[in-house]
Amino acid sequence: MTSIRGRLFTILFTGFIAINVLTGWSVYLRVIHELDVVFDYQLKEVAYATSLGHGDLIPLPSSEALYEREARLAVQVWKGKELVYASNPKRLIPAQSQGLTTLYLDQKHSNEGWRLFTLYSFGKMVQVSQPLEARREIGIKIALRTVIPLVVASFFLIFLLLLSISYSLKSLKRVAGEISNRSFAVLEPIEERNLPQEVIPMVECINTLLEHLSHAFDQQSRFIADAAHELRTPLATIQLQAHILNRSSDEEEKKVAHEQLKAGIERATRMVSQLLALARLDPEMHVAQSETLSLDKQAQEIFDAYEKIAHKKGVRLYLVENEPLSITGEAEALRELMSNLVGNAINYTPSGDIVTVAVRRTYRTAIFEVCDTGPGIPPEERERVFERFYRMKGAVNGGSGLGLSIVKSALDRLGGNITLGEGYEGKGLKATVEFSMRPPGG
Amino acid sequence: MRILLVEDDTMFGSALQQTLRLDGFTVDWSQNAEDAELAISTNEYAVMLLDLGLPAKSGLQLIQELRANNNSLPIIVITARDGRSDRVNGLDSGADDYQVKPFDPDELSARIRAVSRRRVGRLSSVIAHGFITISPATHEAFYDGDPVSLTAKEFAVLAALLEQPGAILSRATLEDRLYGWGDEVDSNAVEVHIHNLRRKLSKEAILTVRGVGYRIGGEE
Repeated sequence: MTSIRGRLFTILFTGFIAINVLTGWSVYLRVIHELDVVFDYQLKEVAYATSLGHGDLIPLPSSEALYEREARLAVQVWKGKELVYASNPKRLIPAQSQGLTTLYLDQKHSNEGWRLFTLYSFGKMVQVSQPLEARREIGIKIALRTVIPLVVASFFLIFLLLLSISYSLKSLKRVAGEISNRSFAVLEPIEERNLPQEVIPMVECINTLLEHLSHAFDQQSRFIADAAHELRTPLATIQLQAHILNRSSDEEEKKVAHEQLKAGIERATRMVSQLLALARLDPEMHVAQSETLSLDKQAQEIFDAYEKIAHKKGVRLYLVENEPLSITGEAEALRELMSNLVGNAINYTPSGDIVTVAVRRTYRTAIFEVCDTGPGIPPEERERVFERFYRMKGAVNGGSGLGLSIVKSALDRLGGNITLGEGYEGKGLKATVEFSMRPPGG
Repeated sequence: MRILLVEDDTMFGSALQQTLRLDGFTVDWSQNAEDAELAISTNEYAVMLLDLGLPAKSGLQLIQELRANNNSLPIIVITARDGRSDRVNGLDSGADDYQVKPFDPDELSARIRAVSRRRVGRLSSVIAHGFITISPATHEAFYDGDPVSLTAKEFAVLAALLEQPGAILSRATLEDRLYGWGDEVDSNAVEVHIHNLRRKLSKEAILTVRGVGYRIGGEE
């Protein structure tokens, strides 16, 4: 698990350490360079001052102690071959030519370097020397003094940063808390106020998701409520019919009551199976494997299944055209679509009249068409009939009010569209379903 | 007792009509609000059973219009909607009672009797007058404490006369109460029922008011 806070802390901490080390190092180099200039100048100053001194007494230009302690300057004066003065007798340096020199005396302490200024003046040779180490020590001291406040400031900054990160992460925590409070019952959007700009896109995405969920959930619960309501009438009918059967006295009455009860149960069963079909075709439901579907074969199958039913009702059912055409989609959706359209047509067509079914092609589309000679649907109702449980005035009784909703759901899955129009000679209903054609060989 | 059933579902309506007939009610059945209005204006009903989900004009609208016209016909709403608001709306619009589908047929019959009883201001479910006592709930009749076996039509004639003791009911009124639409009525059917009742109870049980009709006998 990665923690944003932990990662930020590591990056910032190493970053600050590196910056401090680099700053210290560069300050040190810079200071050493500056010190060289300053101290060289000081060496010269001291040498000139000494050479101008009176007699043999040569005082140091300023406090001896300071030079000794801090800069560790040493002065020696020669007259000819004779050493007349040495501020530090332990440190004797051989004669050099006039000017600034850096000297490495390989004495007891190996590699000890010296910076030295030699001045010939009034027959004297004045030499002012300083160990290079003294310069380094001062350089380090100054560099450290510069870096320490920086280090303190760095830690303070890190602390502030961590504090502000914690504060910013609090809004994430709040969002997390709000999400965990969501349930199917509470799908309100998460409050976007007071959120950092960086978090808002995420919250917006979550809110969109919540909205979709809430919509789907509402639809489901409305459907369940409607379904429960629609099942009440068929069930109440069965209950009454059973009551009548129970109270019928003679055989003839019993037989009639029995037939009625059977019809009542058939109707309730049809209602339940229509509800299940609709639930299966629900857009929220998982889409089954898409396959190549043969329109003509499916139409033939439906025709064979409904021919008997039509015959029983005295309706003549014809399959007038059946071109071999295929589309892609779910087999069940196509089956439900065709059977509901053909079943409806037969239901609404009076005995002795005809229903025609056709599968044919246009330039780019495949057409499945069912034409009946029933009462038709007036233009102003052609939108509403696709609503769940919508029944037209004077609709055939005992219908579930779901047939055309199933057709619509199936079409949404198959990707086609339906047009309702007038049937033959302005009579009845013509339902035309159009599918975009599967490209040949594709 | 003649009742009006307003229900658009053919299968349910037919089953309910048969059930109520078995319980001795005379049932007229309309499939929409417009037909129901016509029926109410031409016949006198004891109770109306009303489905709220009618095509075109809704049941609620029908109740409101009837009440607005000061029609006090008792109404029992029969509904597939059991939401609280549906029940409250129905009752508040002027319905007297409601029954949610599916229901026990005996319960509906009991509600019909209760509502019609309340209409005539009777408290008990048993009607007593003189030596005669009837119980519409059980279809039992007693004369001086002894049970009397009556046919459904005979019972209906007796109940109609006992509902309003002292009132004179014409032959046509009794026929109306007894027979629904489409029932075959013999011209002397009411006379036959009256004759049988007098035979089973006593000669003085029902009095003939010449030229007007019949009324219940016994104490004034």
